Amino acid sequence: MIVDGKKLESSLDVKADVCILGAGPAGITLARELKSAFSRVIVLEAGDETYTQESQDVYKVNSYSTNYRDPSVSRLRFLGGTSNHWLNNTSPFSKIDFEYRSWIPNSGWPISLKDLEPYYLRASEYVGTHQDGYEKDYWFNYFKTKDIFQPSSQIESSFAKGAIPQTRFFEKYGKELIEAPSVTIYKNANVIDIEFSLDSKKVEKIYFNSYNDLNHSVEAKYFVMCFGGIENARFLLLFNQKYKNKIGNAYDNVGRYFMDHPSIKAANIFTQDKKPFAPLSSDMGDRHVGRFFQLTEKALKDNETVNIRMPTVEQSEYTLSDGISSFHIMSAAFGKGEIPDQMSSHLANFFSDIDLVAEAIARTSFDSSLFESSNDFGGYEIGLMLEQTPHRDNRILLSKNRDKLGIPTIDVHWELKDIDKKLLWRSVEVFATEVGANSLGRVKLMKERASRIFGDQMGFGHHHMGTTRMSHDERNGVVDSNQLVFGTENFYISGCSVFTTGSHVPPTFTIVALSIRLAEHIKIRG
Amino acid sequence: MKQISRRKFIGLIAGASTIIFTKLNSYDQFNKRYKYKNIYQQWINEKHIEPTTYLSESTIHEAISKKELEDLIIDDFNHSRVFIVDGLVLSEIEGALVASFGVPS
Repeated sequence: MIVDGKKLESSLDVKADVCILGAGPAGITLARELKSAFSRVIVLEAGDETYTQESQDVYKVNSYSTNYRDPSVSRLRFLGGTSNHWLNNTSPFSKIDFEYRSWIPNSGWPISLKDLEPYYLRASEYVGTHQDGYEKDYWFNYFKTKDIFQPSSQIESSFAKGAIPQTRFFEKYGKELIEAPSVTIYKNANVIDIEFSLDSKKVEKIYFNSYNDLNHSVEAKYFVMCFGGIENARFLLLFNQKYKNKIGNAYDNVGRYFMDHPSIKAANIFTQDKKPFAPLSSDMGDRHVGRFFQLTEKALKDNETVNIRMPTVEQSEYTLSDGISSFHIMSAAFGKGEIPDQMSSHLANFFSDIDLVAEAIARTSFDSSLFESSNDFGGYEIGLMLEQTPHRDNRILLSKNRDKLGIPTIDVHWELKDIDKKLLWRSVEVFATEVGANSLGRVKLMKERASRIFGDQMGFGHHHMGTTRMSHDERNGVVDSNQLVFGTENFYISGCSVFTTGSHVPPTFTIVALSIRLAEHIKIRG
Repeated sequence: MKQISRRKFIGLIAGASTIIFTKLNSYDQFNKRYKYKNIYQQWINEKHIEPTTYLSESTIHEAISKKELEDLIIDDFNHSRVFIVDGLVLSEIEGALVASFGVPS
């Protein structure tokens, strides 16, 4: 059943076995997993069945850091959540992603890959990529080819899969949930408050409002918050204001360790022919499979670095021109009355690529091309995705301003730290060395473009992770290995806010696997 | 460099490695002089040995085959003996050659 909160004519007090807050991939997966085990599953979704500006406006943030992107637009606030515009790019985390790595401060999950593996298998059905796994040997066999790197190399191929069309969670699973006798979805149901017992350590009630004068409550045995990586922190901070940090925030961890996946054009590959790094991908009807490169576990340990996800994209002489990039860097600096760093290199690039700079001016100013050869094959660009290290200073904070429901808006503090940049270059150098060792070409690091690739040219996966991190103990995290909020008996969190570290691959596949695992845990508690 | 001309050597390297040497060789004459001088200085600062001495102490000789040179370059990469020029990650042998173009006359 689905109920529009806006159409309720009087205050409602509902009782449930499980109350799920939020209906994105995590919330919908949980509802689907729990609907047969419990007779009363309530799902509270703040948005409607489709996009509305009224709902989306509640996502407006008070401020966000320079060089970060406005999270008001990367998330969607209606049934299905951000799966309504995700790319459906899935890969599982690796074994090492869960381990403590001495060279990465604050790393180490309280669970291992083995704990999650059975759920990854089931998660692949949820996201629509089928259960034939991600093993590279299987996919090389499918493509009838081999890895271009030797087995002893520090670099390996890996495969990502995505459903065609992309899996929109409410479109795919909404009907089934609406028809389930045990499930009631309340839409336009904005959570506004919590009732927590300091004696029993249980959340007793959640209150919601549907943009009018009526407040409603849900009393449940278990509550699971699945609002997304930023909102989970926002609401937990809000609840802790009321209950003096007794709800998972005794050590001021809520909202901290905020991570994303920066996307950085950090290197180009130059080869004698097009073959070695040509994209290896296939549309298989209802799904897509594609290759990317990454560091092996041995390489990560030998070099004490983080992993990077490296798809290769063919580029022309024009798009790989150093001169054009240097021209832009110098123009931007001169415009501010400054001299750019590495001025001599930029001048050298400018003069050596003067023909391509002229081509760029012709294309942008006169919408015409001067040289046909500028479109000749130039090499490959690596637009890599970086595992960001978790840092306490990267955080979500409640601001002094409030949204139309009276909830404080947020300030987002995000910065790519020096350690991240250092480890990025270290990992790319490992890749460059292996490209040379395997006689595949040479790699050029874009260090001289640092001001841009770590600035206006930096992209993001918009994967908001780590703000209610999983940990062995309350001192270092917010939820335990079962995603139960420290200091509580019945309040769980799901979504990538619980990630201790974020790997170098997109998070939704792991969010779904964790949500299935959490559902198993709640079913066992009964 | 012992008994081997630079022209012949660059031909050997370019043939043996997959590097697009034009990437470094495309500078105009002014930039080329300026660039190689800087690369030579960078080499000296990092390796503390004259590039020509480095090359002569390597097992490179006039009669070296393309395959032998290719193996030496691969061996450099396998042992992380690299030299980074303007971001371009070269083997040390390749780096020494490029730096040798900037030896003060």
